[in-house]
Amino acid sequence: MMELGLAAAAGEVAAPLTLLTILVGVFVGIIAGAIPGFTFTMALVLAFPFTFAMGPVQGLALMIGIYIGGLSGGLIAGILLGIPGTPSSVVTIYDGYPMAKAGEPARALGIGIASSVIGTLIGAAVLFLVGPIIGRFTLNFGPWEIFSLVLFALTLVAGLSGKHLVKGLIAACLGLLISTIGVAPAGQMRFNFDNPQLSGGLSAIPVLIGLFAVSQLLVNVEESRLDARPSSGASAPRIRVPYGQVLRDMWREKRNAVRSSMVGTFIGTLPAAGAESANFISYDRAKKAEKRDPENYGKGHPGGIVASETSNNAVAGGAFIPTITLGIPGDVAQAVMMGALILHGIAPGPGLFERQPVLVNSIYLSIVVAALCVLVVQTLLLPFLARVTLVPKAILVPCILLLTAVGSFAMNNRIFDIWVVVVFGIIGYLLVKLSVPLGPMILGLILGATLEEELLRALQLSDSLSTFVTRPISLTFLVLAVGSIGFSLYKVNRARKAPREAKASVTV
Amino acid sequence: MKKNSHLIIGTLAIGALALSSCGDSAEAGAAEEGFPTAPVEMVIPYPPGGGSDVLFRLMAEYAEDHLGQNIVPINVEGASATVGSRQVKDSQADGYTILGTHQVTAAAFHTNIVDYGFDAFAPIALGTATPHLPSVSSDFAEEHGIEDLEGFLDHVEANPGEVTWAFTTGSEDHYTIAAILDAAGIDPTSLNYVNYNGTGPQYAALISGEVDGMTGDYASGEGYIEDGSMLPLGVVNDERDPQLPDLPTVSEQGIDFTLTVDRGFLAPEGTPAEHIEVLQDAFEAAFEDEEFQDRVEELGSYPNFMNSEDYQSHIDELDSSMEQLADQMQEF
Repeated sequence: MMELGLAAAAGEVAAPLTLLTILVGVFVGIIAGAIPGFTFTMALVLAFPFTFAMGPVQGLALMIGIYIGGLSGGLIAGILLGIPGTPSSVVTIYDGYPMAKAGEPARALGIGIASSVIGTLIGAAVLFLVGPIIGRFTLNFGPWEIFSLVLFALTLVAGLSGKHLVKGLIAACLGLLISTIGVAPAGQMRFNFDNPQLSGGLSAIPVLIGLFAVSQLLVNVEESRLDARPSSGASAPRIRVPYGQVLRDMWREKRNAVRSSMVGTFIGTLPAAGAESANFISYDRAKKAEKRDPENYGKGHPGGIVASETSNNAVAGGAFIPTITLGIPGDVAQAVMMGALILHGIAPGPGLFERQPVLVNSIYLSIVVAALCVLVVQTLLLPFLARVTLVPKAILVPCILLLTAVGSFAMNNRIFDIWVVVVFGIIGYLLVKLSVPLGPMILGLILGATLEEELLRALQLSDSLSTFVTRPISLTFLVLAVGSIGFSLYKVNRARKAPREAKASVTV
Repeated sequence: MKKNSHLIIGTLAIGALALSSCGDSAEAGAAEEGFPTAPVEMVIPYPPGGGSDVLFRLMAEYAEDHLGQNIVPINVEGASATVGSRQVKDSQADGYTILGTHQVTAAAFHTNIVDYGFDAFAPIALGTATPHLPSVSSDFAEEHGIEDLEGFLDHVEANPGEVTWAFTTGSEDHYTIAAILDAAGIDPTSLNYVNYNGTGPQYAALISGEVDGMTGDYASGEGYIEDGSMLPLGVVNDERDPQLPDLPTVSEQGIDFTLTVDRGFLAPEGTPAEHIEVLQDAFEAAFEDEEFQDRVEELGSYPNFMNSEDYQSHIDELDSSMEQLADQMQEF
């Protein structure tokens, strides 16, 4: 039955028109993902009406192309400009941007592209092989488990803060505080200061774009003022792609790639866990597992790019698991794809697998084809993309500022969001000047709402707090959280005892 | 010199363009019968991909052929659908910004999430009706020997505060279950309400056994009903659902309450009546299209067109009955 479905699905996906649809989708997705402020979710919504006229397989193929392309496209701006397009590419810039700045943009992009393709394929393989089993297993994740997982993810702040642990904690708390603006989970209005625009809270994207993009651009302007020489001076970046070097980097990070893909896939599976946090967790794991040169993480270590980009692409395979096996979309992108299915009269749900074997198999195949398209399209684009680093800042900065403003507006069609970008741009710039790391702030912002909602839900279900420690999975995450804090304290103590070295620090 | 003359020509050309476009908009303002001369923006106060989103987009798609202008759907989500409704309420009352909504506009008002309800808007037309399906998980039903709505209500009455029910604060599903309990003479606060964002997470909670029941609908719940993990207790409608012919309505089971999720369109208060009429006629024409009707039914809803006037009285009725339950919907 399954082989039959697979063969029929292969026939449908391999049709020239479907292949072309995926390729177009991937291209659109990469562009949407690459422009800071635009997201592939927006591209998916825009493509939605086009699927009305297509068959279900072709319509899904278009959506999957955009989805996979978009997940990967975020690395471009992150590596070249130090601006993450989405929360899921925040940690890509930790090592990608320093490497590009050090004159190796093409190598960083190459590692990023290879990683995102590997992540997508491993995610798809997990989805195909054990999707239904994982789907059933994730039902064990009630509000207690998700709360504990999110709490664990928040303890990673320490690993993201570099040498400024206290400042990192302050940033994380600021992020959590921002997440409380707007309607509380139980319906009360908070911190809206009688401004109706604030009643819906601040969306993560405009805050992210302000904090990272605008502040980064302000720093760029400052640097170009100080440094009057044209950027293509003595240390011209190498824009020729060092394919051999990229392959060696990937081979060296093979364990990291597999582990990060697994983390990404699994977190992608959990509805509402905030798949954006997968790259933070993978990055932290990779850094702790690195034996040879962990101190180079944050300064342009290939492993940092690999961890982030494999895991944020593997999220795709994971996110499809609850959609296909349970009919529950884990994120907005999945919800849009499910909407397309419903419009074609296909009800997603636990029986989808039995009722529509061809369709489900064509989803797997479309993901694989999309991954290959990402590889081809981005590799072809790579030499041109790397040249972006040669563009003078005076031209580049205003162009990107304009794009970020348009993108943030298009998110919710509110002028207010452009003001959010501006205000957080200034805040971000000041924080960078004070060496406050921005990563923890974003982590706090994207996880704060989930943390609170799950806590409320857990307490609505049972008044007792002890449930958090009597459920084994929840307990496991709590133990991990305590261990993570202990490990950080131990490291801080050891660093304090060690003689103080040069105060070179990296904060992005 | 040559450069200069280019500059002058260019400036003149741009000036002429600007002037001509000014002329267009001035003309549009003067000639009322010209409405609409630009695309109409339709705010959907929910994230993309959900039941409301899909239905509103479908209605827009078919109505724009009759309107002669595009209807551009825009998702403005958040705060129990009030971020979007507020945006429309505060926009210019010219018919170029409309809201797709349902009872949530009244529910958010009566649960004090916002200080305005339907009265801040001028109704354009009602589009579709979707019956609610209050349902429990099959495991829960088996454990307590519950087979129908009556059995469920007896169980709730005998065990107040024990049965957990997934809902979204200040949304229409909250009102439906509260009204059913009230009609049965049971205190609506006897259920242990658990808050979820939208129906997707509610289904996840139901089939994992995290909660005992929820209020769904056929389109989103079909998969779980078929696979036997969810037991619908009754249809909240005047008639049985053709897709579930064996499932009695709640009124057949002695509960005097009917309420469908009624999705319609609103314009800001003060929108010229002529513009409302143009929009209303476009939706009416769409609803005469049989292909469109079939697609709505495929989505588990019914075409239920009402013109502006009928929609207004429909809203008034809803508002007064919801007001009676407002107090009990706030204490939990």
